[in-house]
Amino acid sequence: MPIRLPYGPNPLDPRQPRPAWVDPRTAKTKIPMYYEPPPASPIHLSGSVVIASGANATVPASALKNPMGQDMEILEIKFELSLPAFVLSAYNASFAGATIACELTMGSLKLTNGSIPVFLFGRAENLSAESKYDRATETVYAAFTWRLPRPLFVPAGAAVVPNFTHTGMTPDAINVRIGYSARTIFVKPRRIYVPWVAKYSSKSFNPISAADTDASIELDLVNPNPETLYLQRFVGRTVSVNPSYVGKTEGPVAFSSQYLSARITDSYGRPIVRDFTPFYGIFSPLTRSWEMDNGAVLDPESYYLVNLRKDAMTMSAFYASAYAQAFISMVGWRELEAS
Amino acid sequence: MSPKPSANFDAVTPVILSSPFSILANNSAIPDFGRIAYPYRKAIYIEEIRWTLYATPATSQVAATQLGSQVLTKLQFGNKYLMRDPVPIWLLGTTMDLKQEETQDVTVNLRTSYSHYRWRLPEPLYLEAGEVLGSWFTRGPELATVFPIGTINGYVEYVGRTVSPQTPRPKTIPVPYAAPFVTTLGRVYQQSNEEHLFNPFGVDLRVQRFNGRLLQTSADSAQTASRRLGLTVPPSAPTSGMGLLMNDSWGGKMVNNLTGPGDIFDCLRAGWLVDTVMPPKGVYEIRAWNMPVDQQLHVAMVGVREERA
Repeated sequence: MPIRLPYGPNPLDPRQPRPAWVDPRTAKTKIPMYYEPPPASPIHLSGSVVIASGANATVPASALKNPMGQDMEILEIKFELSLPAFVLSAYNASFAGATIACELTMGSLKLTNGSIPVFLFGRAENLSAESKYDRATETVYAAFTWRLPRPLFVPAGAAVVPNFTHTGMTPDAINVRIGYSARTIFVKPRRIYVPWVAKYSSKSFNPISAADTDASIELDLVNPNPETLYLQRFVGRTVSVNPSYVGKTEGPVAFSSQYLSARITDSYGRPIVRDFTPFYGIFSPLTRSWEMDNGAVLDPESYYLVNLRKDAMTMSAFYASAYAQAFISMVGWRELEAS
Repeated sequence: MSPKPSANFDAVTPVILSSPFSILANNSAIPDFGRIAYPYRKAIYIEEIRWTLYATPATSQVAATQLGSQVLTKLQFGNKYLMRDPVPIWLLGTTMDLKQEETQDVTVNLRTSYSHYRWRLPEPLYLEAGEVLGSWFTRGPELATVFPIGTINGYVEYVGRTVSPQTPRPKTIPVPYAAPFVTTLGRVYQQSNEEHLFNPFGVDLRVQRFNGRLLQTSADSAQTASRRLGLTVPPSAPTSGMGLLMNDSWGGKMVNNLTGPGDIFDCLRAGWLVDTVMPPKGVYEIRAWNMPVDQQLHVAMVGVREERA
């Protein structure tokens, strides 16, 4: 007897009870499993584009569609940025994650609230991989990954289309590659889970000036959708730029750990971060994130408000022309009925 | 955008409560309890505790330092404690990135060190409405002479979420527990006793893991105090021949042959995931042989037990 899969609910859906699996080595009649179509097949799609400073660009949608004309589920989205000339030193290439922002759409569904810097999607799983330098080619690389909170169903013929923006924080063109780690599926899900990412970028602080403040507005960290947003994480990152020096860095330590602090409330004034807390106290520097895939939700059509406070900082005059900026994103998902 | 009246105002929201503190050597400090209490009459779950520590030593010869080795903490709410004895902060969670535990920002001050630690609790800690998880910090005199750091400033942060009022109050709650064993500098052989890695409760303790670190106090060639996570037994050890043996209350062997701390407590995470059950009043014993005079072994047992709410 061939091993039959119980079609109906998607057998790969982790929310569905799994059928008992029969080890073919113990089956009385040994029949290869490939007599039945596989329930899913892994597939990786990618495309790249070179973006000049201050420009917009996109990757051809044809490169990001399932070439087999089947439905698929995207599990992870990866970004790789490279600068083919030695313009950023090896230890600060992750700064490029603030320079390239990405807007993701699938048909009429928006996955992001405008353009999101690519280092704000996922948690930092390996900080050293975010900043690599190939001495042979004098190229710096920054890699970021975003494991989606739930697999994203992409119907046959559709694609998640990225639209990239180079925010101009560096004059150099950046080579951007986006990749989707996905699987082809043969059973349509009954419900689909759509990720949602919104962000707040602070103004540029002058680190050595007097104390300063900034605040997000209602349109930054917002859930504009009519569905409840299930929160996966907040991501918080900082960058500093010193135009007089190759001093573009991600995560300046003193600024993030001591001089910059934040408090957060929601639309109803409920405290999310009750008192001003160091930026790296909220967003652990180990992962640059606050993981909260724990049942926390954001109501439909509501938002979070962030207040930032930068204390006066003593720096050497060498850094007098530097400035620093904070970025916060909110990553979650909402649930829709499949039509 | 003006928010609509919340359809589920009692929905679960994330929350961070934090308070600063400053602590001198041979001293203790208590953060502001008003800041680490949830202000509304709502129960909360604490899922993670973080510490941000920073200090500017008087001498530039103290490089980026694991400040979590110097500051010990004790946590308690009501009559339930998470530590019976103060535990060095760097022993509570595994390390995810050593770089973030000993950093300096040269743009500000060549001497200011920053250390970040986090302890993902073995089980979320349920706090009743109005209940406060109290923190207390202390610094002993022993390391203060070795590391002339002066005042250490810091923040403690409780990371968690609120509990919906519809959620029934639990009858029992899991309460994390951590117990330390820290050797004394300068002794060649040391052994933990029944008041170190032990279960003081009348119920089983589910031991999640052991965390182990090695503090090196001597100056290296660059005249900076360096810290080592773990070293192996000779011949691969660069400077240390330290070996450990471990057994349980009944003499059962846990580490049967002299083994370096870097092997027992995985060098990558400074932890040994054991996930076992320790019976009431149980004890684990560590014997440390051939301790170099400039190295201090820090070990903690982290687990969780059930308490009546």
